Amino acid sequence: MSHQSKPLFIALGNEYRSDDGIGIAVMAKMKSISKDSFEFVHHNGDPTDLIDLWSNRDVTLVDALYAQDYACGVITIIDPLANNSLTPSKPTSSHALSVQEALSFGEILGKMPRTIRIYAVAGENFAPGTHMSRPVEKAVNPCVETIMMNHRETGEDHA
Amino acid sequence: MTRKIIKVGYLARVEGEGSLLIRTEGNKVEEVQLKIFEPPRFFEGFLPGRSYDEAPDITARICGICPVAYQMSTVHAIEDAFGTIIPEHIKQLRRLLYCGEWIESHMLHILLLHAPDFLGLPDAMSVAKAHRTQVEAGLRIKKVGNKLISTLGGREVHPINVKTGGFYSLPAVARFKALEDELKWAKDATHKLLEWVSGFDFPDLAIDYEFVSLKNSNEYPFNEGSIHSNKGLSIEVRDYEKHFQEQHVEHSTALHSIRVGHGSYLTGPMARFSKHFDLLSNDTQQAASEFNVDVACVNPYRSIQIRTLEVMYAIDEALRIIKIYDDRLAPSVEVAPRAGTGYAATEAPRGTLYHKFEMNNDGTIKTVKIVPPTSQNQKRIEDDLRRVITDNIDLAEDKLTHLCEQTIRNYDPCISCATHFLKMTLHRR
Repeated sequence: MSHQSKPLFIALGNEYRSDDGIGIAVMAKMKSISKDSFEFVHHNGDPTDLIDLWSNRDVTLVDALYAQDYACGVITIIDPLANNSLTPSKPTSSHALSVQEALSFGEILGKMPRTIRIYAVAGENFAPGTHMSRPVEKAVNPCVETIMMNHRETGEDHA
Repeated sequence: MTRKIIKVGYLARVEGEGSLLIRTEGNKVEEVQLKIFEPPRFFEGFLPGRSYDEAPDITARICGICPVAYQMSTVHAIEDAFGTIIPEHIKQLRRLLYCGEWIESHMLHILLLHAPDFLGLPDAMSVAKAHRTQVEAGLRIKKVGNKLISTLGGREVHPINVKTGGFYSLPAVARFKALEDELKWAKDATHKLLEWVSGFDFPDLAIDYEFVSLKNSNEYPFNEGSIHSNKGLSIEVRDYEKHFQEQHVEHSTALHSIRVGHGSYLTGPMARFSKHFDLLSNDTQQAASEFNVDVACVNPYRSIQIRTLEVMYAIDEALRIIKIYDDRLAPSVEVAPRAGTGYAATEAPRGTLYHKFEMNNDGTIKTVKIVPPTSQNQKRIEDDLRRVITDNIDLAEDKLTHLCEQTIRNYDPCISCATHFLKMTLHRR
């Protein structure tokens, strides 16, 4: 099986920023139980590079989420293509370019993923440090199980 | 008498967060405040006590766009303190790493942050919709810069292969050779982009700047040289603080720099281009001539052309260094820590970046001083704004606000470095 035919797993985030390390923690667990199921990439989030990486691929993306309305550790699954939830980006500094902007860019430049499912885990502590909050740590296994379940369900499409 | 207040609450398309407040009364500009409200980041506070070999990886974290600049100024300052002699092949590789950073940083600004101003478009997405060919080419050029950095630096953002004395390891020749075709493509594509940006409508403005940059007699400045200006300044880097002073202003968490006895000055692409045009590659000089970019350009809106020319130069320089690259040479030289003070300035994409490191005998850091280019340019930006507002006082508020934002973006300010930045308020009375 070539890499191109495998679904792509993208971990965003910074393992030295406490709860922002959730993507990398989930990726490590995934690799330990099913390293051949995905092509794994830890990415810095640069949208101009993301669009080349995910173009026409089946993508699973895990990142931390910061939102006051979400309890720490809650996993939110977003399918931006299925929900047609691409919204125009607001003017901002380049430091704040996000997955949303990357998707908008990809759409304009014809570099969209074939499918993309985003697993966003709510965090509460993004201070420097390598320890995730307890609820975020506890979200690693459920997140992996959900990803694998979805992977099995859609496996034939990805083959 | 008409009083006006212009407020931009959050300035878009700059690196970091800040705001702008302008008060006018009649035809007089009473107050211009480029407000930088992000908190100080204390790098100079937490470096003391750390070992010299940790420093380049820590200062790189000051910026995600120009980490190489911080690493380069840091290692050169520490090597100056230790009396380390760096061989020519490592100097060349440091230039190569810097080429990668100039390419990626300049392309990001040209394409996604600055071009929308000239095209009357609100953001990068709109530029991508309306000018897809140019945006695709620009992103591909940017990627070549990223690739240079990751090949030599170990990764694109915050490289991990830079150390005091050189590099931890050197990549195989074949890895650089594999980039040659893409670099050659990028050079042609940059020429086309230069043609595109040269067709923009540039507002009229001519300012009698004091241009400040490094000067090294035989190369366009990156890492080495003394500090010169077009108004008679010629000093060694170690004398920087005798001639330049940082001042605290109430509305900014970034300090303002002035040249003592002279006032504001400009550092960055326009200063380098004006002072060192003859050290650019022949093709870059020819392209400047082809698109009428004046060597003595003092219109800051044309900085977008000069950045594009610097991308072309960085590509030429990268190709030159790759051609002579030899992976059999030592990746670094021994470093012998000793007590002392070291000074360095290098040319970040946005301008001159000054570092001073005072070191203890055991190789730990005693004190650090860092003066980023945006803090050096910040007073100059406010002075430009005063002039632009005075010249355009009768413009409708939305047009004047846009012109002010565009004026700030001429500088590609990195507020995250300076410490971060924009919101604009105009009070007309």
